[in-house]
Amino acid sequence: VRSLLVLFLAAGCADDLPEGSLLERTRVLAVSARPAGDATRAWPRPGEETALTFLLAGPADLPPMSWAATLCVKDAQGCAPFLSTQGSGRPEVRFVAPEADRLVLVAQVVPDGEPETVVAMELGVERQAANHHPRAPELSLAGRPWGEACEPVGAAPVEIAVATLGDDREPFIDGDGAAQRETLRLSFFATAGELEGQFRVVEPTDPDDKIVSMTWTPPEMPDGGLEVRFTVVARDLRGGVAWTQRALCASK
Amino acid sequence: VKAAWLLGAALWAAAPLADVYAQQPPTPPALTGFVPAEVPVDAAHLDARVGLILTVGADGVVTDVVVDAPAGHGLDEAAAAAARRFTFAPATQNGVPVAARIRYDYVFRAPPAGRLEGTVLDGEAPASGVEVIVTDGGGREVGRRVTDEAGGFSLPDLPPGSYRVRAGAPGAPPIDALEEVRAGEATGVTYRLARAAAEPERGFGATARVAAPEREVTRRSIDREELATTAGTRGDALRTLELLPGVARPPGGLGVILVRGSAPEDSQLFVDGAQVLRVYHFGGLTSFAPARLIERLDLFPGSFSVRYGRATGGVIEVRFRDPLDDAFHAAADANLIDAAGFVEGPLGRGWSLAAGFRRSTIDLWFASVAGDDGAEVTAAPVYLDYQLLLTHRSARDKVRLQIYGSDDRFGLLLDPANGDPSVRGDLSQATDFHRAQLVWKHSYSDAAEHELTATAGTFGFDFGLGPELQQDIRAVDVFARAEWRLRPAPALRFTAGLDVMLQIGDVQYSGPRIQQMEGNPDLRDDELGDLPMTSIDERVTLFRPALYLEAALRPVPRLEVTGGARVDLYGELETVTFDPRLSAKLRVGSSTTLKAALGRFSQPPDYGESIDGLGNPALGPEHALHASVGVEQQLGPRASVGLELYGKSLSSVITAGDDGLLVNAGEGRIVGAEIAGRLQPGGPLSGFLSYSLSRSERREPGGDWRLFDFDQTHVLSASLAWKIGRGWSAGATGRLVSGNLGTPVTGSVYDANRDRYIPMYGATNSMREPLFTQLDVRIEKAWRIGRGHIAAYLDLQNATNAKNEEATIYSYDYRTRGSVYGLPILPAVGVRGEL
Repeated sequence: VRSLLVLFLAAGCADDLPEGSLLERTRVLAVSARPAGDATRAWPRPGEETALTFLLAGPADLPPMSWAATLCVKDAQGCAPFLSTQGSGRPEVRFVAPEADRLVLVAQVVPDGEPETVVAMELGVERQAANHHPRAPELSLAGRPWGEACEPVGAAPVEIAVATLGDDREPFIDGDGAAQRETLRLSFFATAGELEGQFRVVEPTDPDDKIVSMTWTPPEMPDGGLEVRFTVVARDLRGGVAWTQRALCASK
Repeated sequence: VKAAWLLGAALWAAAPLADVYAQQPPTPPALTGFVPAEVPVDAAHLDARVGLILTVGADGVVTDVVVDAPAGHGLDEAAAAAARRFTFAPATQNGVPVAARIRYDYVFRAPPAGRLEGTVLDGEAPASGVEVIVTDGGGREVGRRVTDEAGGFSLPDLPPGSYRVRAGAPGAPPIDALEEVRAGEATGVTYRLARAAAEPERGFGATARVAAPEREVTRRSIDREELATTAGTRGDALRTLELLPGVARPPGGLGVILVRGSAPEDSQLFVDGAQVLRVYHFGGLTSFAPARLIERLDLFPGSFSVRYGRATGGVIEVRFRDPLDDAFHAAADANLIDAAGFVEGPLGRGWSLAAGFRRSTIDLWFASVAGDDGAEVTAAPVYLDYQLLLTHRSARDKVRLQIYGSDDRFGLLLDPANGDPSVRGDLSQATDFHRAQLVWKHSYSDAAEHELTATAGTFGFDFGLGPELQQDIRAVDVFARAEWRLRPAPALRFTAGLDVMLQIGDVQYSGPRIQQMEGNPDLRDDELGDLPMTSIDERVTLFRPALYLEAALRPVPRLEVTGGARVDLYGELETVTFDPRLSAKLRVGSSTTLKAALGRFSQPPDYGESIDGLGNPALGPEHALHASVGVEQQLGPRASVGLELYGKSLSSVITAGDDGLLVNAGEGRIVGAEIAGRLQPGGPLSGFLSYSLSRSERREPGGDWRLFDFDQTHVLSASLAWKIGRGWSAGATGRLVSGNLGTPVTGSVYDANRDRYIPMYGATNSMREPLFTQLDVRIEKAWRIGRGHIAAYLDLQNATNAKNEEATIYSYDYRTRGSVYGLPILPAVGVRGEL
């Protein structure tokens, strides 16, 4: 809604602001729940040991960091904490899922010398139907599969494509008992250059083999070239999340 | 042989003539420097010809002038004096300058006469038998008329100039007005006898009219000019409203009208008594009602008459004028925003017709300059409006059929690449209304009349925002008003009326339930998909009849007290409201009026708020109590100032309850002061100055008082129009307005479910953008062509290119702040012609 208001106002002009797709500092980009019994499931079952894994990325290697986290059971009255923990290094929260419908994670991540981030996440507990993570995005670069090796590119813009499958968007029954299908939201991040935007959305009604693309424009290149790291995160907006990280070796 | 002989004979015969013809004839002197004669005032209106014999020397100078054919009236002397100062290229003989004597006819052409015609009204009834005396600038009487049964009078052949018009009737203060008559133009005026101040719609003097209360000027070339040429409004009459006291600046070009600290939906716009739901075309650029067709534009910022209901804010009433019936007229206007055409004229037997049409031109270039920053234009804004007025007048009746409508369409393809990813897909909006309106005014006698208005039409509102929000409303609406006015005694007047509104609409809606937007910054950051969604497809009927009665009493000549009450039934709510209102005006001396008013006002929930499934069907009307005191001071025939203090208390304001469902549990309080200065048209300069000081607050259940979203503490507006002469005119409008309110962001939380940051807000509306400043300039040059004219104009909005901050925006994580700015300098160049 805010974006809509801004759109109408933007008939004038607006100040330039940092883009969300450019990783200029260490940021939390996702949190994934991994039940010990089956890491493909996004929701733990009651009594199941589960790890919450944080995806962090920044313009360089991750700095040392400290973190603290609280998990609580969400109900109509609020949220009752059942676990508080803290540590250093990349955050990872392990817990045994209680008998509940919804859990909420609140965490604070403080990279050394950088601004802290407060993270919140709502997580379902599998009592009946399951929710699975989508597949990690399969990326291609200018029409070729994009592997883990640093892919060489020139100074021209390149197109990053993500091939999705119908299974990435699970069917589910919503709170009103209506049959729905998930929406897949893809987030794109780069450590340099300019992505066309941050998001792409695959609608429930889109074909199963929907391919989305995003154009990346290299920055002004230093003589020795530049390694640019990319992260693409796929979310089903119900707690299911997966990501892929790749690199480009750009030169003039 | 015969031919050769004839040729020889001819050559022989021609030989002597050749010598003669070698002497070339003299060339007459040619006038190179004309000097206009100083026409005696008494002869200014005469057509005459003075025959002169001029002797022009070899040096081209006039050495002698003889009047050969005199015309009298001082014109002979004037012509001779002017001719002595003529300069000529001298006459020549064989190329040598020689003196010459020539005849020169100095022709005097009187400028085309103008015409002064008008109507004197007593309330809404024609005032017949009123003596009207017109004197020229020298105090000489040039005409004396007695108004006819329709209250009309006419002086058909008046030389251009200023005239003083005086009229009077027993029991009413005399009318004394200065009028300007222009060559070849008809100056139409309407005077209202001052005792007609008891008319219901005037009610309390909080009225801020574009024209003065006691004198409704409908001069074709002045009133319309004022409405149409105010700088920065691009000739749009309703935009002029924004400059009047009590009206706030709509932020960011939103097409809304904000009156005395009230929400946009709390004020209503009427066209001849029938409510119009949408005032402005796309983006607030232009209203649907062209100034050319408007006779009067009334703003009632508060304490309005019982004639109006279903509103707790203010009322704006647009009254279309009668088409001219003296001759056919036509006009056209084109600029970068829109183009319009207009014709009017007599049809005979008391009938006259006017028709207008306007269509946007912005769509011709908008898409190419809109860019693709997150949005692709799929349908550039297109709007059109049309009007057809048909009037028949007789001595006691006036019947007018008005057909008018408006249509807007706009579409964007939103790219979810940036910003809120839930806002994606097609954004489209289409609104339209079309209606026919019949107005019948009948005078039974000088003391009794009625006015019946019946309006029927359709309206539609389609809005779509990607897959999350779809709305489609198609409805039929009917407005009917019957009003009877009775004056049993000179000091007593009654008005009774029936005001019915019926809307039957098919509503299809799929999207979030209606939320409280005002004072709720959190809502702006919710993704549409996060809000509680609903879907309805049903027929909605709104039947809202009302009765009103008002009495105006003048117990002593200087005091007028008006009291009335209005009873409204809201069929869909099964609720009745009773709103009593009282006002008083006291004249002190000849030019000072004190006034005070108190009244209750009620308003039903906004469209959809009370629909089951979309809003809350248990909602009831909102209420407001208005109180005000003021003083008006006349500073001569054209200048006046006024001061008014007011307070409003709002109750049962619709707000969000604990569970988000709308409830009548909010409160509001508004206090303010308004200063208005005005210089009426009639001289080379006219304009107005207004300053509003106000504070508008709201409170939710259990909360603290906070500022209202659209609160603007200071609003200072000044507008000046200057008729420079020789077809040139210029104007400027300046505004200084308190900045828009906002709610500061104090931090943010990363939502890992959706990959976005959620802002944490400080106190609601505790942050204000810097002062808004804007200077608009308008320059126009008109050329007379035959009996019409053509004009070119430049309307420069934000002439100083002030960078006004309209809203605060944030980076994706709310750590960095920036601003959205208002429109930069915006020139509107156009041409209009009028016949």
